[in-house]
Amino acid sequence: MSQFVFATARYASGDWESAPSLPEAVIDAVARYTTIDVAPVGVYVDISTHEIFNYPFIWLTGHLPLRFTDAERRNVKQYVERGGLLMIDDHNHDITGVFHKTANEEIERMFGKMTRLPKDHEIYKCFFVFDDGPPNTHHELNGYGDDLLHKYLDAVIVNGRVGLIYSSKDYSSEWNFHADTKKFMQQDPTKFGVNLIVYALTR
Amino acid sequence: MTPRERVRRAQQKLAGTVVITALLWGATLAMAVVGLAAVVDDLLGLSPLARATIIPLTVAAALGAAVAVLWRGRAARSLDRVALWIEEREPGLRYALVTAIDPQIAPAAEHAELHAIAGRVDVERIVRRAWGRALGRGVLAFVVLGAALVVLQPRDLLHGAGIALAHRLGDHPPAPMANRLAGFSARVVPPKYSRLPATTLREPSDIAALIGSAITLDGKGPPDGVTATWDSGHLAARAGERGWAVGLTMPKSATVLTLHDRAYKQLVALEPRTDSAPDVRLRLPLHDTTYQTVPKGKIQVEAGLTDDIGLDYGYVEYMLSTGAEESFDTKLINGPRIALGNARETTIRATIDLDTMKLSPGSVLHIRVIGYDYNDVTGPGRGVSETRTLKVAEPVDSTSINAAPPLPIDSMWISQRLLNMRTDTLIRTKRQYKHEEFVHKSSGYSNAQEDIRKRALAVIALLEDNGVGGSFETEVSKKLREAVDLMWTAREDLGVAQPDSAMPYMKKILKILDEIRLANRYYLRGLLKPVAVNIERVRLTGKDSANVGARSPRDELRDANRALAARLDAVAALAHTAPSAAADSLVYIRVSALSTAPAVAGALQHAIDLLRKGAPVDTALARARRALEPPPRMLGGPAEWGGVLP
Repeated sequence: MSQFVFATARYASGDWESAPSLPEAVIDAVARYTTIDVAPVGVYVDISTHEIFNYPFIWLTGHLPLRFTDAERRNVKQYVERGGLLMIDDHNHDITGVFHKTANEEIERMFGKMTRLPKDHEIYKCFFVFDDGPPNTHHELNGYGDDLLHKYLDAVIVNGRVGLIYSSKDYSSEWNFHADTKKFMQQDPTKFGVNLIVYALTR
Repeated sequence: MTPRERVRRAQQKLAGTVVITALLWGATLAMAVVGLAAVVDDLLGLSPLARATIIPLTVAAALGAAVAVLWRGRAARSLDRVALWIEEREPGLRYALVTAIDPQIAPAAEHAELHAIAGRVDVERIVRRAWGRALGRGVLAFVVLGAALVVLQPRDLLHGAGIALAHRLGDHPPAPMANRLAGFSARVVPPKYSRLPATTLREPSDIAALIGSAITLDGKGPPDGVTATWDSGHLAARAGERGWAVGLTMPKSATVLTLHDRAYKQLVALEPRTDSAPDVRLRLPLHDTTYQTVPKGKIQVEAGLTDDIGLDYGYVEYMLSTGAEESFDTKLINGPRIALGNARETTIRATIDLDTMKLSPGSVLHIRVIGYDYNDVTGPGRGVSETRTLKVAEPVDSTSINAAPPLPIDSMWISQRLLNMRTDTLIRTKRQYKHEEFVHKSSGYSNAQEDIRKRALAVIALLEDNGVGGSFETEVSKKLREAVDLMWTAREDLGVAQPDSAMPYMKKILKILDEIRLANRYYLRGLLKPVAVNIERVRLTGKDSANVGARSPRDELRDANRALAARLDAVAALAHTAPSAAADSLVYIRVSALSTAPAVAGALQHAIDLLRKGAPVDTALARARRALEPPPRMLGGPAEWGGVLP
């Protein structure tokens, strides 16, 4: 079995590099809690290239408008329909912000309306169990962005499997820290990241 | 003219007026009954019995109205009553007229004064006024109801009513009817916005039309008992021009419509055609750009728009984001609407004045063009171009962004231009050189061309390096590759002392380099240095233990093609014994294949047509079956299947 490599999407329209430490924190969590053979370093992958098909899980984030090029759109559609899991996280944590609006427009253009993931969905219990659905972030609790607690994640379901998750919770801010910092934390906030990766690898 | 003669003339005119008015009101009442029936039929649908009563009711209403008017005007038959009617309108006569018209009571010779008084009255005026009043109302009612009938178009209703009445009046039970579905036809009227002509199809097994098209199926025979059903609807036939008719609108998804006439039935596949959304291609700006400094001046936006039916309007959308890190402010600006006049292909051009945009380091400008079509049934269709992203680099970007160095395109362009000039001179002065000298010079230019080609290849490598070990093609590198290919050809021609042949290629090279040189842009190339996690150190050191719930395996994907193939095999077995049932089954299979396997759907239509004609269908079914199979795999050559290499 080949090694799992955490991939961050690089796209043309926005600040794809806005959470540079997130891969490190999630890779650390995967190693800390699972026996998954994980690469110590993440990669940046241009979603306009076929390179994305080498990675079962891709993280995409940003603050600026998300407008895919034709090549990016074509690749993302194929990626999701062929069994990949693309996580799109709104780094603005603001449903009135441009990232949210443009990302939703792009997703709807490719896949139609997204489905709300129920709190008892498999993704919340495939490794760690999150009874209340997606864990909240400090940015939500502290009232930044749209000042809302987003209780659900939206998703594109393909053949009964989640192929794309859209989050307004801003995990990109919550998990954007050096892994060593975890020793000062009471709770590891990146545990949900492990669930995402386990789901991507086992479903 | 004596008073008697004048009253007699008035009597004739009044009698004529009564007759004409009676006819007018008779016709008006008949139209009112028909119009009312048409409205009720449209809203509620009339039963066959109600239809059968329309014509008798109409005739009765017409006769009733005419008789009523004639009865009211019966006084016009009597000369005395007419004279009294005139006296009633001219009280000043004091019965002089009534008296004067009777020759026995008041002969003219003896009652000259009386006759003179009676002769002064303007009988014509009185009659004219009465005539105008009586006819005016009738004509007005006639015109209003006539206009209403033009709108309601009750011709089909009356035709059906006549048939229904004939059935009711018949002394004997009607003769057994033939299959009323035989020879049916379909008239398809596309939505108005499409500007497509209406078409008529004879006994179609498949109707392909734009969503929203009005479809009227009609045939011979009375409408009673003819119905049309499909998955979401049921319609009873109405009276039509030829007999029965069923009208419906092309639905949004493919379906099979079944026409029923007693035990007879006919399947018609309804194949909706979707109006494509406009296709919008952004031509300018050519590609995304990162400016190292705040840009000034104007940039051109140009997009090509095409639509299968017609474009309504379009506009340029700008989205300007300013800010840094986590704090951005974004403004959405829509350019003025540009009317596209229902064109199928057109171009939108706009100019952006960067000086007015208040750009600053960190600003990001997204540009795209949006077009709408004329579809007022399921649309309007919206087409969106790719987005071009123009960024202004920030000073801090140097830590995360490695801007490519200015491309050495300028120097390359100068070298190529010089080489072109020299080659041109060589061609013009060819006669001045000895052959060896000419070959030597041309060969030297060939080397110079090769030198430029190598420099271009180096730039391509620089452009396509994505900084993390991979590569990707950019718009500029793509163009530059085109130039490199031309350089190779030019170099070859120069090398064999044929500068004439090389020159056209060299001109093209210079043009391409010029285009790239004028772009004068730098490209964002992210180069983040990810931190490596010490996996061995942290492996399984987490304090939280997982409480893993059930992980269900991925569902096996349903093989739609295999299911379709099984259905086709079943039909193939049926085709020889029950071709009609096989054709009906194929109609259903075809409709379900329209979205999943269009190639199969196309092949099946041929098979359906053959089955309905009673022709052999095996080949057509085999063709459809083959369309379900994966394409044949190409083998590399004999070694792959031929076994051991010599």
